[in-house]
Amino acid sequence: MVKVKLEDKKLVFSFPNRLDTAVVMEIETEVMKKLEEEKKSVKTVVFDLKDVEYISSSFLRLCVNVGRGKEENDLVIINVSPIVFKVFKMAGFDKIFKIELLDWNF
Amino acid sequence: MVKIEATADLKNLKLLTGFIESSLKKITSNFELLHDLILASEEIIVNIILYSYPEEKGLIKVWIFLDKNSFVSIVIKDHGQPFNPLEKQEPDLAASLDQRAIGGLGIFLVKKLVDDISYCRKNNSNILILKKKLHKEAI
Repeated sequence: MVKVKLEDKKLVFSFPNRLDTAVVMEIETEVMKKLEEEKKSVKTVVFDLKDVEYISSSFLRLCVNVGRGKEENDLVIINVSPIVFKVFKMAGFDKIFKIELLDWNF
Repeated sequence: MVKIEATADLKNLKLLTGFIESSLKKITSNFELLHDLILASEEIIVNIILYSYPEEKGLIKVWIFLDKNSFVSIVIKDHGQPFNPLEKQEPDLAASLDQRAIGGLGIFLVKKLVDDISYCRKNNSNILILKKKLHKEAI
């Protein structure tokens, strides 16, 4: 369900369309495990939300867990659509993570 | 008024939120309103799944109706142990990541997503009501 790629020192996770609590619980272990495996080669973790249309608080918690575990590394969240950004903003997460809105060109 | 019930299990989450979504689509085309109510409902339902039935899983019942003042009400009921999700501690959003209380985030969001939220305990059941005003769509 989650796609991962390592480019330069960035570990990029691409998430599926709907991140409700049940889905997040399924992918959480996969994400944390991959992070642990690659931690020596990674400086930045990127969460690419270009296909994501819905997030719940469980996904916010995943962001915290990922951000928390990193000392020198950063978590950057990219391609965030307006309705998803609204949820990050409500939780005040726009102040603690670097969040980039989806940049559409049509 | 429409109703659904299912066992309080994470595998029924999509069934419950899917029903709420398709029911609401019959009364509004407002995407943001739909999103807010579905997310608020999910957060409540997940809390019930995680906390109301510590031993044997019971039922979650959901009713949806629209009142004459154009408020959508979503009533979520379970007969588990007394549990008022509104009493959960709010997360300290100003805290650094390390101290952030990640537990109360769901309920914190619910309070911002809906216009009114109330809880009562009656007949050995937890009853939570979410209300949001349906605005008249511009034609």
